[in-house]
Amino acid sequence: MINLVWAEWLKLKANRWVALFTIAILPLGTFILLNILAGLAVVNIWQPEMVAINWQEQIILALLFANQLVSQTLFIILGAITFGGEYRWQTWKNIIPRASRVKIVLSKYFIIILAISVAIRGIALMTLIGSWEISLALNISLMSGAWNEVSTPFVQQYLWLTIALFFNYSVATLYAVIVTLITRSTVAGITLGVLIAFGDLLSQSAFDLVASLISVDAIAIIPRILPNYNVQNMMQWIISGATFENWSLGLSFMLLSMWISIGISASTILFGRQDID
Amino acid sequence: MVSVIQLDKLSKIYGTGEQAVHAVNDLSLTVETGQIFGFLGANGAGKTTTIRMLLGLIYPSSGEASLFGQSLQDAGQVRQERVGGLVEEATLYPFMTGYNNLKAIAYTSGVTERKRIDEVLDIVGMRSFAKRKAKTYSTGMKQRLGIATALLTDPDLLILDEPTNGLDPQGIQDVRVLLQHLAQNEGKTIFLSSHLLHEIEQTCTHVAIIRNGHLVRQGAINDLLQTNSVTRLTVDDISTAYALLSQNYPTEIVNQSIEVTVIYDNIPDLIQYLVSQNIRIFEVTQKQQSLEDLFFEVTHD
Repeated sequence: MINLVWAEWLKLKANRWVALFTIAILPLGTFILLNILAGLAVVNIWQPEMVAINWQEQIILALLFANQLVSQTLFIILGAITFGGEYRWQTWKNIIPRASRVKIVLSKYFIIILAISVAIRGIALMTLIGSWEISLALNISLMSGAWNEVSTPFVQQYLWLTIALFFNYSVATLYAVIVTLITRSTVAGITLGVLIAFGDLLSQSAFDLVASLISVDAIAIIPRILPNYNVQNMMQWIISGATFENWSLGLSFMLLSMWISIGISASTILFGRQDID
Repeated sequence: MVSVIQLDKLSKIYGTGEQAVHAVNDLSLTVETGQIFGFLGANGAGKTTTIRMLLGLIYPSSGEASLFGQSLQDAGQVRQERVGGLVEEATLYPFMTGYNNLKAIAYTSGVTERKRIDEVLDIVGMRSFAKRKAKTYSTGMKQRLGIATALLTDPDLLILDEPTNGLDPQGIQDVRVLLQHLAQNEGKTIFLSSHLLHEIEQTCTHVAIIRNGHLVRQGAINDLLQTNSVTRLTVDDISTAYALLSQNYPTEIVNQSIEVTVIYDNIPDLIQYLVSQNIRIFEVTQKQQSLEDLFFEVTHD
């Protein structure tokens, strides 16, 4: 299994434009943005405003920004290319006889999950480096003044946000992978993956509307079992300290874990029974 | 001894109902250790479908098949450890170098020794091109690298689908020499499909010919070509001889001689029969049938 992961790593490393666009773009974007701010601080533009900024809050905001459909799309692209590329280049024919299908799929998932983790850590690291550069430019201490000391609530909030982000990206990636395995097309995987993620995002409003139109309140509860509601529930808890009504954090955690397990199992079974023509 | 490949009424049907396509139909054949087995058939005859089933890319609709005695469903381990395959054209990651393509496939196969990658590059003569990206390779170079990937695990059985596709005459000869070397010196069994009948005739020890998914002929090449060889007879009374022979054998009069298609072992009986009918025979020559003749004979209506 470890050798299969190495093989996947080699492919991802060699496909550097895909890796750059999907995994590195968020950390790099954060880094570039903060360096522009550092530059502005050096030339005395917005210096008073930046001194007043709470940079811990900015890190949290950066992670909150990353929790959007546009960021999910990056991992939808990564998931679709990781699996769809093998159809496009017909390389499944070369690897399926060499290892078990289950292990091949799991090694691909491992690399995707690793990529997601690296991207999330990268965002935080780049924010830290960028913030440090700004603190130098503003001549303030990173751990004092506008920065404040790193507080326990910040660390907790940060860690929970990374967990929520991880679920969010993983679920979106699964949408793309399953569509790609069914359609055997990277483009379809990306397009339908984004549409499904978007549908998941809008599901609560849509079901609320249907429930009010036909006057059946129970219908409005259905989207609560879908991934997006539970990610939003986690975010709600992280930001405000309270979950949505009658929906505990533990339940959301369980449902999201279940969705990911079902997604990985379904795609593994689907691929295991698939003829490669 | 356990056969390397054993197919027993293997079938593959694509689609259902009226749309169903019977790509392979009740195909039975046996490949033994050390054979270079040519698998012949026209386009769409079912060669690639059969190879895909052997390599676990697609699942049979019915029938039994085994690799080294393991049924196809349970042959995953055997396939990974003892079989190397190349299906149709070589498929490579275009954004990776030839070397890294081999490295990725080596890791996938559980081969971690870099030395083996260098060895297979040398075997197929691609060492000097290994650092180039695969997208810059010619079809022949890709095909060589494809053969290299098949050799990575040093398999006991090589299953090659059109391995000489895209190769120039020198490349074709190199592959022929390589396959013969692998079979004769390293005891490998080779199962290959090709359209190049002359190449198959020169390379293979055994062949199977399929038509519309059905096996129509199988055996050692020498036996098959001798089985229905054409015997040319020069006799004193052509018309009488023709009348006598055409009752029992496919017979033609060609350039004042009689050409009769007869099983090799029956030639003495045929001569004895003509002599007993007072036909004087001046010359008997055997016209060796080529694989191409046999192929067209059994695959055409």
